[in-house]
Amino acid sequence: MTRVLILGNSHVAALKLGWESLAKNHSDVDVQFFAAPCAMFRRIKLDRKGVLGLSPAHRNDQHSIQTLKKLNGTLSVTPGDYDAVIWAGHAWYRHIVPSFLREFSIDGVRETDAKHRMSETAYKHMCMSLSERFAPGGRWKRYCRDKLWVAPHPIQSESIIKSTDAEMERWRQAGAQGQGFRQALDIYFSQFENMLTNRNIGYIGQPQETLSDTGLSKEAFSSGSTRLKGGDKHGDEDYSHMNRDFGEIMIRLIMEKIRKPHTETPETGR
Amino acid sequence: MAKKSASPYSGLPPRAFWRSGVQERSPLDPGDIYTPRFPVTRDMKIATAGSCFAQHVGRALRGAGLDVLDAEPLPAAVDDATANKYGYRLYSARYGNIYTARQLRQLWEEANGEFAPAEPVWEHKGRYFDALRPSVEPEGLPDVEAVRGHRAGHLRAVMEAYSAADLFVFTFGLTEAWIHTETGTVYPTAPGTIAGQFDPERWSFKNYDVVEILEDFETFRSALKTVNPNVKFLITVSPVPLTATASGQHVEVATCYSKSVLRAVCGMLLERHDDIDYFPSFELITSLNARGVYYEPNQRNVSSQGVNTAMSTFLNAHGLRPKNPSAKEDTDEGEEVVCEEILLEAFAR
Repeated sequence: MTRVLILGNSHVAALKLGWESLAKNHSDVDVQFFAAPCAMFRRIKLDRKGVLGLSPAHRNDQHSIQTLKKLNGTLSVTPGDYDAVIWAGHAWYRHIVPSFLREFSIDGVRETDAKHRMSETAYKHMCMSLSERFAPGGRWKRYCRDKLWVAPHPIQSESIIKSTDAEMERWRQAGAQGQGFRQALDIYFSQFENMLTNRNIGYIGQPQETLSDTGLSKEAFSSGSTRLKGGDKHGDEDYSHMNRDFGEIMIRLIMEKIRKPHTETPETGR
Repeated sequence: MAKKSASPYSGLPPRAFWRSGVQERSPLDPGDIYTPRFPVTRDMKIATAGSCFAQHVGRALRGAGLDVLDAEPLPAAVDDATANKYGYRLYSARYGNIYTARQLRQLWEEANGEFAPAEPVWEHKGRYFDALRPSVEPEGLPDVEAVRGHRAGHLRAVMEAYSAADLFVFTFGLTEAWIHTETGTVYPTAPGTIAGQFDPERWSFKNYDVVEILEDFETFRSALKTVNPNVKFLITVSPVPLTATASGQHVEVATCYSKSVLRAVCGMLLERHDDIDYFPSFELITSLNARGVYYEPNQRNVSSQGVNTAMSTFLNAHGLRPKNPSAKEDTDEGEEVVCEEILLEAFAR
């Protein structure tokens, strides 16, 4: 029996739904989930003994305790006890690529009449530098050597293009302008993957089939997404959470990857 | 009838005398070495340029919350080290270090379409570099057209920044330079240092003198004032000695000459123009009162303590308190100043 731990924030919800659908096809795999809403997940740390749980500053916070128990049936988990650990919905600089494209024409990536021009090498270097800031800490290397995989937070849904929310303007602009945005995201994630590979951490990119030509996630995979807590549907103004169909595709990819060498380059992921 | 006194020195303030102005001053106390000619205020838009030391100046002004112009900005999430590697956040546009007054004049004339540099693109291992700022793309660009395109955008940014500036801060760094012999085009580095190839038939060494430097800066000043009539100038001389000299002199002798020329030009500019102020960073850092502690062990790089002292002196004189100066100093410690001159050391071994 292969023991798999999927941990993370609210983006774990889609994977949990996916596993509910597909568990019957993987009788040799036991999958456990350990998740918390985004703000609460930031309070969860891997301690010196390799136990993942609330950090000392929040260990007595009753709301966090109740939420973790309700979601996971436990307050902590030991990732090192598993054969594979998937960190889902891992943070990255989600807004940085649209920000770059708003200000820069990037050589060979997306050449526009933006005010400034940037070389592809400079852009790549900056993407790597920005990725480094999201590298899992040293304890993960110590306690999860060769069995940690990171799946970044999904790209915003293409439904964002229809949004009238001013805060979504840069996404709307970038998505509406098509192919170059996807290339710019591909470079970012290529550097993100390199950052992980340099640390012997596996990378599970967003599957290509879930992405539209704009570079954004297909709306079909975001509509009807459910909340981690309570299972209610997210509202129409939610552009970042994915649904059960997305979760199933991710689970298939995860099952495929945990059977391969740890840092093999993904073929189906971004 | 004017009142007679024993000596014209007899009513002068303590700062006018070496004993009270320097000898009896506490070690590392900058004293009242600087009296501003005009105020520098937080509502001023400031453009910066110059040699390596000017990077410290710009950083300190930004750190103090002054409005330092950046016409080629990056998203704030990009860290300074990465930004600096590609020439961002060093100065008000991505021109890298401007070591000589001729380089500054040339840049402004080029931005105005009045000057076209000779051999503006240099090649190295199949990559192409902007010869006028070769360090801003350390890996170069894929072709000549890309270099030209990037430069065109950069020149627009220079025009935008300088035209908007209320205060132009320039740090004079060097008198020595390498020029295209036939046209006089000056470059920040010798061909062959970062890119290009040195050919003595095409390139030659130039050591600008007082007259030339004075004319270059005054020409720049006049030209800038035609589009930005209210701009004021703050000039300094870099206290960083030469890494190497091609003058034939000992490097220490050449440094003394170079700094003396630059300091003399600053004195003349101050005398001639009311819109120019001089800040004595050179005097502060090299002062015998400091006993050399404002330099790193290599006796060339200015230490963070030296930078902090110089910039605190400037800010205090203008009533501009640094924002958390000690924390800033810690942050800056170990921060490498981007300096093509460093590359010369590799050629000296």
